[in-house]
Amino acid sequence: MDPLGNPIAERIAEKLSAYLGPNTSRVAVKTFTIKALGRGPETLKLEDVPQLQAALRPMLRTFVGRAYAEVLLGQIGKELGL
Amino acid sequence: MSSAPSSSGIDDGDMRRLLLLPVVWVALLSVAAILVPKDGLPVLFRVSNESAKVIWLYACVSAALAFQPGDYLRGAWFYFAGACFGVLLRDVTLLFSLGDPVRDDLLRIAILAIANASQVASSWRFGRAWKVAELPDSEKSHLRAYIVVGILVVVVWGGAMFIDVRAALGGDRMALVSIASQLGDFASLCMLAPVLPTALALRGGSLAWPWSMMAACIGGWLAYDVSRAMASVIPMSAALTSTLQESARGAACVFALLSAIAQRRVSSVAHRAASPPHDGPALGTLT
Repeated sequence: MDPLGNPIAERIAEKLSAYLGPNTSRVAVKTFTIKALGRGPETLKLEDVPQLQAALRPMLRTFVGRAYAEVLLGQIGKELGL
Repeated sequence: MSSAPSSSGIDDGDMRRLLLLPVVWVALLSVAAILVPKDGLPVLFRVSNESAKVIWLYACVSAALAFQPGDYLRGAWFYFAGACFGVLLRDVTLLFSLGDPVRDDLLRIAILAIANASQVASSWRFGRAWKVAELPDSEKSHLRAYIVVGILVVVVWGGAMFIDVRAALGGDRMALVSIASQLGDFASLCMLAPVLPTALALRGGSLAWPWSMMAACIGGWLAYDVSRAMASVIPMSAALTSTLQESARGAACVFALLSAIAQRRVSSVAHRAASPPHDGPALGTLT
């Protein structure tokens, strides 16, 4: 597995991995970081996290539903101290 | 998939134990088919048939209710439930007559057509989940799945469809029911092709369970159609044919139940985890 090269990105991928599996969670963090910020996950800063959360939202809503997607996104924010 | 309960809460060991359910269903049905006297077999197979469908309906409604109104997969599960309800309703119509065989057949054809439409809508939603989630890198694996399923569909349904079309052209109205059902299965399976790559992509995560069980459910329905096709090609006793068909149907429905159980566990655990114990410092304090 490719390292995401950033502890924040790694932490988010780790959280999502419990649901999406290690491979898809990393792909998701990479894809949606680029989509939301226009740059790679290695550049992710704490202040970028809300934008990444917003980009991850439709994917999570599809797989776990709206209510639980919000719980997960909230947990990610909490774990990152936001 | 790890063996301990994951942080998303699905106990993999528990789910693995539940995998015995379809095996137990098939084993019990096979033993019962051997032990039950010949004149009792139709009752046995009817009970097995309807029980499986009730389990299927329960599974679909249960999984749908794990989601909120408006959630993408809630619709997929409700359409799946609609298909099952339609098939059960058709079975109810076998218990009475409208007094005219033509009207009886037309009623059953209409119900099955609606059930099949619901099945196709469900398959469309399940099959498109990955795309709707906007996840990348799925084109190649999904294309491969479509090709494999396309070949299977032609092999499994080609012969049976030819026989049914010939019968329908010869004036057999019930062959139309079979054609409608097979077209629905055909379309559904093609649309469901991406379910297996989705399950594989999610491996290692708790969502792999509902998706892999759904893939197994599709496999069960495919086995059901294979057993029907086999019966029209290979000479075998009616009892053996029914045992094979009902085993496949039962396994498919139990796998649907396992998919629903897994989906509900993922959802309920995510819900309970709204206030998780927090271990380790927040990343914000590290950077």
